[in-house]
Amino acid sequence: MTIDTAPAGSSAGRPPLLAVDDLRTTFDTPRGTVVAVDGVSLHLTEGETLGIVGESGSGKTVLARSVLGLVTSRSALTTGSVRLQGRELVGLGARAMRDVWGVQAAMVFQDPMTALNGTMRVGRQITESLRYHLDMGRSEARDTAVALLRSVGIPEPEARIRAYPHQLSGGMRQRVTIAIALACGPRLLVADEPTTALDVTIQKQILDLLGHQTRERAMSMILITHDLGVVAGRTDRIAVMYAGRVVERGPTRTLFRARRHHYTDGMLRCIPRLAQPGHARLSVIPGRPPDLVDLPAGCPFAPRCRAARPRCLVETPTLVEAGGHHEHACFFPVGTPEGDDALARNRAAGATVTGLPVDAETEDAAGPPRPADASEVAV
Amino acid sequence: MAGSGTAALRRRDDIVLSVENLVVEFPLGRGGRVQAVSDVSFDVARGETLGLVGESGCGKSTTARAVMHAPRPTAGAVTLAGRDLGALGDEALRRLRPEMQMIFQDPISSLNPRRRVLDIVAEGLSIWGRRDGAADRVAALLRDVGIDPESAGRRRPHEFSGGQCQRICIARALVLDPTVLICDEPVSALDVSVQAQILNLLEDLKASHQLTMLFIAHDLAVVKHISDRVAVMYLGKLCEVGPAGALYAAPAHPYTAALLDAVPEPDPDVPVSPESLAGDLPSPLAPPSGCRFRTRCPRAEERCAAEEPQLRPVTVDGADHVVACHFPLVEAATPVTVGGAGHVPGRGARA
Repeated sequence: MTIDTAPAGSSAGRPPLLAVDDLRTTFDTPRGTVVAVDGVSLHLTEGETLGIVGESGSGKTVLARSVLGLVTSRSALTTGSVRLQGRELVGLGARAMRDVWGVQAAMVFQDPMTALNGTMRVGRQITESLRYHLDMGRSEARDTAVALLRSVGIPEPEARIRAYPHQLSGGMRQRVTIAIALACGPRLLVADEPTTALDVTIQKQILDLLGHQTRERAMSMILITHDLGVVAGRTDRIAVMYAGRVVERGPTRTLFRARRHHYTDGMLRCIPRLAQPGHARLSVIPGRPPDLVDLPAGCPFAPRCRAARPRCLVETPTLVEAGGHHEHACFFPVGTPEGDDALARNRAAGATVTGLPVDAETEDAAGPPRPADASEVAV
Repeated sequence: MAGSGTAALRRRDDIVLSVENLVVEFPLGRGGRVQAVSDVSFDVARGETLGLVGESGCGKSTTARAVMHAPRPTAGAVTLAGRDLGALGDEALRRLRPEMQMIFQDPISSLNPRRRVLDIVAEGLSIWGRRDGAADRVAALLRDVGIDPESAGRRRPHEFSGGQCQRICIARALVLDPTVLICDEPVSALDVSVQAQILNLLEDLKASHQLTMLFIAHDLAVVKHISDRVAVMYLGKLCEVGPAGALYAAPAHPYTAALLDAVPEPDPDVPVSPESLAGDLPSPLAPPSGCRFRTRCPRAEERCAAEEPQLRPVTVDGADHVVACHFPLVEAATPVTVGGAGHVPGRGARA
């Protein structure tokens, strides 16, 4: 997989804040080697928000942790390159990473209760990094912590810095973890499913807060989620992951409007939407994600794909440019003559090359219309 | 919001499940009590799916368990096909259990890991001594839910994915031919591609097994998709009950509107709403006076703190769509009681 040469919607020519090249993370398990991240390349410029979308087991969390050197398992091996502000992070020890974590890059986790130390007042959890990295005195750090808590929307921050995590609600705890992440002014924020554990009204508050803070601080963000709704209105670009690989990526609008990979298409079509009438038949993606131990050759999505052809079983598709910084890894993309032809042949045969039945019933379900052809797409 | 009253109950003769003034209290120690469900009334007609939505802690799951009488509620009546569950003794209640079955959020932990799939699904039949044709019935049901009884029947739950385990749970729930199926967040733990499979399956089974469903979820799009009627809960009380289409198109309660506003649409051309509901769910230990939603409500006025709104019809045709709000977003058909009438004009319906 290649690196985008010029990122969409941002000033070309400037070196990217983050450049990930051919990153691969494997875990040795008794069953064999699990390839959790399989040769991912991506980049991020200053102030840009990249969404990474995938289902459980797609490797999105391991990717985020690998980027920040947070895969600590003894059985894990990370290879490839991660350059943050020009500095190579892969292979850096924990001692050297201490100057990266919190200062250059910080992370917000899914579950704020386990991300926070339950035995420490939240104020101290914020001032800890301020005093270590920025060499602040006690009272200066305290004042900064109060200001940070106020900036993330915590009422009565002077009182709340004395609170323990269990005394706060889930939404407030996530605000505290965001305050901790922001404390030392990182240039990159990695948010791994930051709202999955929260209710929908609180989710909106937290996403609004993250958007506000990234704009205010001209910070870059990687927003990882399984929910296409979360990334739709809040990212510049999106990468879709499946079985440890990026299968499609591009500017957010293009990815929704002119998706080319059958997995992206399937995901978008199987989500129930408020705009749909009730009881509409949902489109489904048959089957389930593959086992990442000994992934067979070919496209990992082929067993679930209605357009799978013999080529998909022998050759592994790599990302190819589809115009406008939109890339996909598919031989028979959605909405192209090749894709339509593959679908027509499978329909005529009644099944795909992997034996997946293809008939009208499984296809003509609800969902937004498929993009017709590339020309109608406005980027 | 957060209204009481029985206005959500309809006068129809095909009501299968009726819940009246349901209250569930839990002891807190030192004589204190918390009301998790506070005077909730609703009904479900034959073949209907009632969706129950709300944020975590609003009492949706507690309501489901109280309806099942597992355990019995503190107060209130649950009537299943004309029989009042509260009036039944323990043994009579047990005899009625096959009529009402439940599926849960975490399919893997709700299956016994040491038992084989065939035995799990057949257990209900063997408890009730219905051994004749049991094996055929189990195999047929497994096929109905998309599990091959030949290859999968002798395996154990850990060999299946979450989606497949949920299919097994559904087969187990249907084996005794229940009238009512209660689904408590059945797709929340599943990935979107699997979620769609399970939702389609539930719709198919509802038709083929003539089920009446109570479907609990926090995902508003999922609830709209599967429900005929929707009830919105907040802090132990109902805010609004109505036909799914009408309630989503024109929510009458500010909380329903705020919930709908907060749903992130998977469409980059739908702008993110600039408004958002402030604050958190108040503690159920000390719920706000009057309307329980008033502390977060953009329309709250003095009256909302003083007086608890009762559920009342939104539309002229009665109990079909009811709301518990002094200042609903949709004009109420019945005049507002003294004190509030002056505030109503000017608050138009949402498109």
